[in-house]
Amino acid sequence: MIHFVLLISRQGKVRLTKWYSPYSQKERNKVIRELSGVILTRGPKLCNFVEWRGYKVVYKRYASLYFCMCIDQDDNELEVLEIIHHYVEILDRYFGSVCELDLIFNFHKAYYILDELLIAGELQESSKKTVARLIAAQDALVETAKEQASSISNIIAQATK
Amino acid sequence: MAGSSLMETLFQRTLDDLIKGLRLSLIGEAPFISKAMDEIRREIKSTDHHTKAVALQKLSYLSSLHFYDMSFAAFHVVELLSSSRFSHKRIAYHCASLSFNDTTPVLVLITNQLRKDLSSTSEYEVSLALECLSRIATPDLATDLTPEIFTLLSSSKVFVRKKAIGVILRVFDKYPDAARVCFKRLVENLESSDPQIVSAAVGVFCELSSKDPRSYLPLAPEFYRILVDSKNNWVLIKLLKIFAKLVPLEPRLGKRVVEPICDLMRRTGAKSLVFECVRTVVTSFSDFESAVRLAVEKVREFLVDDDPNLKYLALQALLIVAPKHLWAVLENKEVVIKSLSDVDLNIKLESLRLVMAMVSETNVAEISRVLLNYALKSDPVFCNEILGSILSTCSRNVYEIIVDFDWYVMTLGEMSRIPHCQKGDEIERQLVDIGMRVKDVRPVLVRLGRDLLIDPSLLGNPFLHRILSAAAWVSGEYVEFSRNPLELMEALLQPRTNLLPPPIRAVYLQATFKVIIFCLHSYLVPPASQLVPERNRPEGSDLATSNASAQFEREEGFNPRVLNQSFDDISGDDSEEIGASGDQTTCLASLGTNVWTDESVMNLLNKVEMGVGPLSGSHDVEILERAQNLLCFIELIRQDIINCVSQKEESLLRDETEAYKIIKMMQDAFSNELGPVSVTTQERVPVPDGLELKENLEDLETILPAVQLTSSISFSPESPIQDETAAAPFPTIQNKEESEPSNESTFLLAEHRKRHGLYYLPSEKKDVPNDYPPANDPKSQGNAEDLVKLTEQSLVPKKKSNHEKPRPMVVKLDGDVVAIAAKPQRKDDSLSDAVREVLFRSDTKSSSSQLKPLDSSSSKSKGKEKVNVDTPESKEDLTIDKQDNQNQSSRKSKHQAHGKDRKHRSLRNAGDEMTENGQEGKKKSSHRRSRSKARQRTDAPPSVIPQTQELRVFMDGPPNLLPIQNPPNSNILDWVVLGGLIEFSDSASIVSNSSLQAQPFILLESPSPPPPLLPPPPPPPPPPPPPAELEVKPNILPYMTDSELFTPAIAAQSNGRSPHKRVPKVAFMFLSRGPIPLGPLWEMFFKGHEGLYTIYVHSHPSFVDSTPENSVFYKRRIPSEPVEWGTSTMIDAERRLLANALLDSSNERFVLLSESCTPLFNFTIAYNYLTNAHKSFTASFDDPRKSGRGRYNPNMSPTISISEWRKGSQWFEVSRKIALEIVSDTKYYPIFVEHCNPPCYMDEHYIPTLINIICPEENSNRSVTWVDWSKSGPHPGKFGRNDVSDEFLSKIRFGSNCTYNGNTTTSLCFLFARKFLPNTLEPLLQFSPLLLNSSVQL
Repeated sequence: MIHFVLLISRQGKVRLTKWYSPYSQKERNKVIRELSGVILTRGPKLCNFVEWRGYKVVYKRYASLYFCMCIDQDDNELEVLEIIHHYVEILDRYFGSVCELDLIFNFHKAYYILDELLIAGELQESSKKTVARLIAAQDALVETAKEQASSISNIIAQATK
Repeated sequence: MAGSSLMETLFQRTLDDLIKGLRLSLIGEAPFISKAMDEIRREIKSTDHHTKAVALQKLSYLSSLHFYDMSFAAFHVVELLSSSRFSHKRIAYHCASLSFNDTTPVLVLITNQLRKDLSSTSEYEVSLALECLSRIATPDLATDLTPEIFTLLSSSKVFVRKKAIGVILRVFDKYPDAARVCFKRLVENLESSDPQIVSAAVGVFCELSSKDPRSYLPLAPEFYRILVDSKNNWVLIKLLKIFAKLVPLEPRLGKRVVEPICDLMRRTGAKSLVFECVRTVVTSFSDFESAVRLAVEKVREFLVDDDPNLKYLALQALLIVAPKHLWAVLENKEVVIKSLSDVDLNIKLESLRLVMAMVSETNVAEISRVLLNYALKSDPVFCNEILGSILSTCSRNVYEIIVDFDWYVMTLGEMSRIPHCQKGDEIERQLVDIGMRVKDVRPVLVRLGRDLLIDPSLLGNPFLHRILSAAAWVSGEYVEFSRNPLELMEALLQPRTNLLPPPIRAVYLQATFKVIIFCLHSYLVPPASQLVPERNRPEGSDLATSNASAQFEREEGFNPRVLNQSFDDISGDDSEEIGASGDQTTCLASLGTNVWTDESVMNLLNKVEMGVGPLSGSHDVEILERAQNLLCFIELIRQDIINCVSQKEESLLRDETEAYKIIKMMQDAFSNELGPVSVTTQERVPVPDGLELKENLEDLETILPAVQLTSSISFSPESPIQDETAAAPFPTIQNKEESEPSNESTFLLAEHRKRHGLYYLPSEKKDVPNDYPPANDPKSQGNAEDLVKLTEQSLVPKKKSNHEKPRPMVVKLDGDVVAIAAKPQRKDDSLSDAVREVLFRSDTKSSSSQLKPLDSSSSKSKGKEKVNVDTPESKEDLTIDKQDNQNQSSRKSKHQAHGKDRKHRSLRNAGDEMTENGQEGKKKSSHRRSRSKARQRTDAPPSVIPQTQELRVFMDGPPNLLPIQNPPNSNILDWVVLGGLIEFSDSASIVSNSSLQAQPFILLESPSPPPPLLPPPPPPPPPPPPPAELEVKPNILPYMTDSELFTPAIAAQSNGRSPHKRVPKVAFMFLSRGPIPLGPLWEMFFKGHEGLYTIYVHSHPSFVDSTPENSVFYKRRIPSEPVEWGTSTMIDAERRLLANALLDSSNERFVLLSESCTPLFNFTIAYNYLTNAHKSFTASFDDPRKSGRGRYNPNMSPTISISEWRKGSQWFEVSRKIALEIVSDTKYYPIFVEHCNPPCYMDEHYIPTLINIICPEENSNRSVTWVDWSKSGPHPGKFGRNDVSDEFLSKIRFGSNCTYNGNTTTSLCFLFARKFLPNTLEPLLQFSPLLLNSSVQL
């Protein structure tokens, strides 16, 4: 299974983290520091796998962003590479040629998309279209709610209650 | 209050603001965040959900990217969870899954909210809750919410269901008992038609089975089905992982699965899938040679790929395959070696591991040499990786692969001189270890030690200190092998030793002490009384005569001249010291020994005093103590020595002096050999009474805060080992080794002395501390190609090469070889219990209740009695399973006992059987029904149990997997165990068929032996598991082969003449490779005649079936094996088809058809033609030509004579009687298998000959399948779309004459025709009104 997903920028800034195995806040910090040390220093055209603490970390660089997933020893590295690519494609489709800034400012969106893709460290949806549809539906749900909430009458009702 | 809320709402910083602020970071990141955190803390308390939500959103951002603790907000998260708005809920759930853990106190508060959301009508809310649960579920939550999950597992919304499946993993983990509830539904999801659901379910099973594969063995048939059917690579990869886990547990499974996997490997274009296949094969199918070959082929493709990922993975795969199939590595060694110089460190490491995997005792020396040369020019990291792997490989299993220890010790020395070497600790350990374990190598070790000690430049390298420590130790301990103890002493006392850390200096001092004792001892003690008489010392010190030297020269090839020369160099430089030793610097103490003069001894003592003196004030306790000891010792003996000197002539009195006694004593002490100590020794020593090991040690730390623990090699006297070998002569130093290197290093020492002045007043300033030169010039600057060349020879596995020396004895202790093969204890965790229970229904309670004594059931109805009688057997099976899952032999023996037991019991029940015989008919029908149920899973309500059954079927019934009887109240399909046979029926039928009983049981129990089973065909065909294996025969182990299929088939036949009338059916048996191209035509053929035919399809096991449900071919495949044209596998397949068809007792006629066969008439005609025929329609003729009798093998005689030999078309039509004969034939089949090899083709001869021998009168000797032999050649004519025409068909249909049922001559001879290519379907369909026209009458 996938133990965690990390998105780290080339400068070592963390852009997204998702933990499927229990790690305390302290451990999370440590893991990220350790891994960015290992991964960011690796040159281009090297293989995308790093052995780390008995696990394997599969990473792939897209523009300035490193997508990393930590998996078990006997998991399939190529499959995970495909999952990463899959995720990137969905992000791309959602944001329209996604860039790092999109992810910075839409942190939660990237999160929700990941949640539709993986559950409990397993791939749950392999269809890009389906994920896009689900996310759009949920966005719509939020939008209608937001419209209601931001209407003036609502605010006044809130204020005077 | 309200105002502030309004203000908060309107002026709250959103997440966007926060992010923008962070990016601007006007006031620096940390202050900005702490300011933001303050805001959040305030806002989060707001009563307004929106404000709270935004605050939490910001908090979750800071928490997950900046690692701020957000546990303080846990309660607010819970509050927000209850918001009715989706957007709020989403944020709250996100926060919960981000920050909650098992210890979060508010977790108990969310159970109800989760339950509510899980049963919400909005699928998105459900999905939020599920996602959160998948992350935070605790045992309590899992327990409470299992019912909801259970419901969701069969939700109609795919979106929700797949998430529920994902959550299962966590729920099972936290609350294993949930498996009792949910497992069945989870399994059902494997059969779902939605690929995403299947994918999710397979993913879960993949994870589950990685923890405890055994529990999921019963699901193997289901997995197999998906493996064959699925085209989704994600699913396939997971399935392969599952099989990789399952196959090692059940070898028979491997045979089934290996073919589809290989097929997948060949077929797929997806690299990830190919790699998974490869990995599965190399990990779990390493016994399947051809599969491994294929995998290695793929690996090779990967290896040469440009993609570093593939290369890396290929190397890993090779590493897995290496232990069992070294050839795979050797075949690719060129690439492997080249990879050593890859740019990627990871790839380099993998290839290094592979190279080390290739090491054997014959090539270890060469490989090590090559690698060491390579290490010299590698970067430090990789260099040390190389050294590390050489060290660990060579020392594996107490230096298993080392034959030439001299070489190895020298190699260790070489390693220590590699500039980047940081493996000092390990080298130190091994040097000492080898010294203790291998006696024969000690002289070399001492020489190496001397070379290392004497080189002052090494002292400057801190990485080498540990090695020097080992060198000092071996030099001191085995000083008797030293050529020149004096020199050694100098080296040990050289001023630069103050660069060493104190613990190592202490070792140096101790070594000095040993050397002194040795020198003094050899000075004082007359050789006659020497401990080691073999050393052959000369008579007395002052008698170091030429005569003795001559003796040495003669005896041992000793050559003092060379030595003298070397020392002359030194004496030239160093007048005082050497002068003191004078001419007898020939004090090659170890050998010539007693060449000591009194002056030299005095000199020695002085030197030691001078060198050690300053250390007596050391702050390090170890050094201090040892230095003091040494000084005191010298003080103690000095007077006596002086006396000795003054009374030179009376040297004979020496041995009375005090000094002599002391030295003798010390020498005795030191000569007590130290042996290796087993790691477990300490445990064996009982703690003496009153010795308190644990108390007060805490204080120690405060008292001695800065104590450095010294290296932890412990030595202990171990005389037993010594005693054993004491009689054996110590090897003497080989003089031929007295050559260049040591001279060179002696020269170095002399140089050093010249530089620093003798003895060595501390003059470090002159020293450049790290000026040691790299000991080995990296002169071999070759690149990878050179490497390849270099290793070319060494990697070729050689025959035992030139080991002049036999491998010396290596002392081993029992604790040395760690029991690697410790059997993994089966983890009997609760989840696997639960799963097993669901799969096997092995509730302990119910099974124990079934263990009633036999007699207690007598009052019940007969059927019940039967059940009760036999249940204990199944219970036995289960017990065996629990006791020992692995141990085949014990299982076997158990089963033999079991078989006897059963027989015994059956005698008692003989009376019952008699009555039961009368009920055959009823039993028969129930038997049939159950069978068809097993075959057509769609008919039965989906349940787990069929899979259990199918598994056995699948793997030919290992008895240890027998499910035991269901709890009586179960409403699903049950297992009833009947004697040796397991009957599958539903509980209703237990009552209705209360007397049901199976014929095979009687057959087996009858006093006459059962029909002999077929001997397994030469390449034992992997077990074909047709639906017939409802039967379990514990006395047939370990395989249930075709023969085990045939037995019930035969049995089904022999009692098949049931009293009541049946409508006969025709079995259409299709032997095909894959699909049936003319299927649509056949569909039309069969349409409307249900109940009059049964179809069986034997296709290649790897064929992926996509038959639609409404097809007559749907689910008609029988478990199959690969078929090769012209081999016995063809006959096996035909027999398999027949056996399956025989199991249906209404089948009266059996037609074998190929995939290219087309019907020529409609069903009614064919049916009537066949069922009314008196004879079978199988071509069988005596062909005198080469292609007939010419294929007869005289070795078949006398069983088959040439006059009985027949030839005929493979495509037979037989009656039930002949079908039975074919299936039960054990006499002729093996003869054919053995002797009928190409050009004898079994399919053309076996059945015709068999029929001719057994019942020629039952056969009409013609075939009803038309085929065109008019064209010459080995294969008949084929027909394409253009051949099909009205006239053509008419010619086939009515163009010949034959007899039917004796005397009727008819033109209707053929019902089917062969060799119609797939593209004839369209024209044939056009002619179908003609072909299937019902107006034609027989």
